[in-house]
Amino acid sequence: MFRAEPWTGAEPSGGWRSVFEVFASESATAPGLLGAYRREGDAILFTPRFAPRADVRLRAVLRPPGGEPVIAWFGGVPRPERAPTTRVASVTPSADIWPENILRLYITFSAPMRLGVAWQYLRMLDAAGRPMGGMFVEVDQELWDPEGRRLTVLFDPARIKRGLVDHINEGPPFEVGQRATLLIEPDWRDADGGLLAAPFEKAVTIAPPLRAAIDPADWRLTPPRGATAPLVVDFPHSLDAAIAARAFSVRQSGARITGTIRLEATETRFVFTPDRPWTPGAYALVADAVLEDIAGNRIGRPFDIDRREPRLADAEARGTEIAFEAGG
Amino acid sequence: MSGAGDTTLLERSTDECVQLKSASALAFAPNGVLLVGDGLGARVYAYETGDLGPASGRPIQIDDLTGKIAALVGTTPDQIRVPDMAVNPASGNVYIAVARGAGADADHLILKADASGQLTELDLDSTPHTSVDLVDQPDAEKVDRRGNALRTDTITDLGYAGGKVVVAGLSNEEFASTLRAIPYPFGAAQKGAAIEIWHGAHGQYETNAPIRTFIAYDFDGEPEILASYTCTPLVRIPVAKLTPGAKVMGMTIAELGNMNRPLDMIAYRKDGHDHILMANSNRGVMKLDAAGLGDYGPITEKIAATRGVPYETIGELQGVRRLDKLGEGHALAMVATGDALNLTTIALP
Repeated sequence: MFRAEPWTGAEPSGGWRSVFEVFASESATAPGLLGAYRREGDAILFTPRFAPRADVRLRAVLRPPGGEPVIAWFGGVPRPERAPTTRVASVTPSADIWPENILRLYITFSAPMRLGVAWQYLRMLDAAGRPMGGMFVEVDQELWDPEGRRLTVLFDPARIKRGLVDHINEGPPFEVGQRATLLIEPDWRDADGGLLAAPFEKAVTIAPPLRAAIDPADWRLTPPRGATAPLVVDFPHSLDAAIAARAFSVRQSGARITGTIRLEATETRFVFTPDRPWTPGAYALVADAVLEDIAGNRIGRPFDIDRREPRLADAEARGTEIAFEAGG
Repeated sequence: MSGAGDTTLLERSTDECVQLKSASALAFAPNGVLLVGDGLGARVYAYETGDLGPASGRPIQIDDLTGKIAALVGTTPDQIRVPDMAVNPASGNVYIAVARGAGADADHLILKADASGQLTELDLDSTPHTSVDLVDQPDAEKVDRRGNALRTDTITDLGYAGGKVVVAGLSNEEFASTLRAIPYPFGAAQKGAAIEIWHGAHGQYETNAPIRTFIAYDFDGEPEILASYTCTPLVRIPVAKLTPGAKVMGMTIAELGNMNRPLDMIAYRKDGHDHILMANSNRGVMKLDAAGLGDYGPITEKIAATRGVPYETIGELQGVRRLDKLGEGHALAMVATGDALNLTTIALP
């Protein structure tokens, strides 16, 4: 709150702002701070709409009628450069072999990041270290989790989806056999202004595309061997880590069993450890229809459906349920 | 000709204090009703601004927008983001979505500027408003090991078409679209149910794809949306088909060159001709000839070039991020020049 006194007259016709204003910028054209004025005795009180940052130098100006303006300065304490502590905690898919039609990445940082600048600091480099252009869907809004720690990066679907101009002219983002590196530049600041502790690099080799729907018949389910042992399910291809973490549930008579889910072996293995020992009996692993692999294929429905394939014409993504015994 | 259809008046609200979790998209419905898309909060708000004009017809020019906003809210320009802006057609005033803070814990506010360039804050509590809940996500409540939900929807665009508020979203997890068409005024217990929007890649492949930006457009009196998917520049979708749970296929009517997607669009009429002005990701601002737009058939064969609706590129317009109509002959453009962001009035080409 800012206080100017004494002020003995009535509120001026132009409002309190015409005689008392606080500025957070030295620019001659910059407006004064937003906020609310009130009178308290012989003082004018101004409460800014937002508490000004400590490193912003504030200039309070009182213009008494017929007198010279009175100016007071506040704040402007420079912020010391923070030690770079924030790191890239993980990138999924974690495998170092990616299919040509990989659809998205999740980049998780150890602390909340600065938003709105991601596309300046993310690069795919080719084998010669040259930046590969036009790789990502660079939406202004950026796709973050609510905390600003995990960024979702979509590879350009116009280059992934078959039959589109960009797919024909530019080709898919990657070519089979190609070596490429994901680079996250260290001068990306976190939400608190600190630089990243180090650049992040992930070298990958590109494998043939995954064009088939997920088929649960290809999964290998290993029932728990003991009352506290985990349920383990192996998949032929990496699953989308974020979706898999919420698409699977373990149920007994329809009721969800609480437990811990881990994805291992480059997201090709689902490991579920129940909170309480298994009681002997029948269980089911349930997968929701939202489940996707890392190329956007779902159970029963590939990412892009080839209309010339009659059996795919009405393909709908579906869930699945696999029965198993535990606790015996 | 594009248009907003019938006018509606909003009821006064009994909502409690509004705390926007995000404000990624703004648009106007008739009668000065400002639509605010809060993707993180999974809500769309409709504010009866009472800002009913008359339209001043004067140009708006605000240089160093982020610097001025930073000065208003007591921070440094690098802590300011401006996700969207919209011009109120009733008054000619511009409304600007602002995030104050670098990270996800930023404060979100809406500023308003008139032709004098003076910025004031829209009071989100005292301005009468209604809102609609967009929560219908499967397992949206699922949390990570630290107890945080990670899945979010970002509202990429919203607008008013044929009596409905149309909301396009992009998920940070599954690729599926989250398009919604919510009858307006909002009903009491209404939810914005998702519609599956599909994209046919030239008759052969099809994918459930998200929409990035769109405008309302009337074809022979029938409201449609002209949309840009994340993968294709221009598709038509009739608003009447946007019913909850529907599976809707958009019709591609233009290809606009390689690696190019619209960031924002406006429709206008000049000297008796219909046009669409489009700010693009890679190819500057394009002016499309919209004469007989309804006559373009779907592009159904594989092509390796531009096709469909003819266009020209307006070379003098660089760095345009957002566009909205400002009166009959002008548009307001949000232009990025280096680190600076300016609002500039341009004559419609």
